[in-house]
Amino acid sequence: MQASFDPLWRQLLAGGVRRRPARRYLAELKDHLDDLIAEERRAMNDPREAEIRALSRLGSFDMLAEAMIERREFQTWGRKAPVAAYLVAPALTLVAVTALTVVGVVMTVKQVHGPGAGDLPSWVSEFATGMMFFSHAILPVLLAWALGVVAFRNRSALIWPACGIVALVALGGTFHPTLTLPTATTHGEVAISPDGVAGFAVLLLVAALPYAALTLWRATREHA
Amino acid sequence: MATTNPSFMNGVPELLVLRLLRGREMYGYEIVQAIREETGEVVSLGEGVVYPVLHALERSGAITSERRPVGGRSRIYYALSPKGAARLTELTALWSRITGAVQQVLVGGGRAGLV
Repeated sequence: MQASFDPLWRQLLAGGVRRRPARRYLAELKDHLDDLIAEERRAMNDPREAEIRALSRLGSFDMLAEAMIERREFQTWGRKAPVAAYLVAPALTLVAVTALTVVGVVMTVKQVHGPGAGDLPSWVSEFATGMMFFSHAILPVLLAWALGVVAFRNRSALIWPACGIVALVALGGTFHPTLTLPTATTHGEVAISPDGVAGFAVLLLVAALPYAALTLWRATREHA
Repeated sequence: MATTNPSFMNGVPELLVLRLLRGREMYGYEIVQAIREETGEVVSLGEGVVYPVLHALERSGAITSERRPVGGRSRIYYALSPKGAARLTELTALWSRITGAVQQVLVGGGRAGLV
């Protein structure tokens, strides 16, 4: 028999310990347990009893988990500062990348559409449309998926990742940049217009689906 | 074997680990056995609890670690750094002051005897 450290691994992650220190901790605990078993076996004939005594000397999983969880330096940002990690940082990333995308498109249009120029070439229109679609529909979804994967891997409590996904969708849906390209006779324009309810709902569904599915899958598997 | 009451142990594992590593490099199992032996088993931890202490000390720069193959296995050896040596001096002085003060109270001298 060799003890499984899986429950301790789950306790550590659920307690907010980062994966790397948790992995190293378990590796050293396993080595330590091997040494303890070898020592106990030298002292007694019953290998099973030797392993039980070795495990007892190592400490209970609750005690071992607590010793690591209470040390803030090994915790994830999602545990130390959930608001910053799951709400502020993704929202700021969305705003910053959206702003950069819009600026990039405007600069490109300005380069191509000089004073006295005629209609824009079709590739500019396609490029601008693609970039606007990316910043409005793809970027919030990608950020929400990334947030969901991080939260899932770290076994974070549901509340903050869920709030973060909703915030990303709200932000992405509310500040929907639309671009009107200049023609030979009119100026171009960048405007911000919120989506309708259906737009929000679709965005929320797509953004939240992977995290919801992963969480449900884990809950089902662990309760089975 | 009963473990020592954790509330009395704050800072003690750090002090013991730094002191033990002053003499030579050791790996986790060796450190725990040394603590047991040198304290006459008065200080007895859940043995695995030493690793968060070691990892925190390493992170703070007080000790360093190196993985080495020994007898077909890979072990992580810990060594005291100059920063750890300074920390040990500081902790030892603090510990001496605290134990001296507690001892003074226990033998009935000092201000406690006047209350």
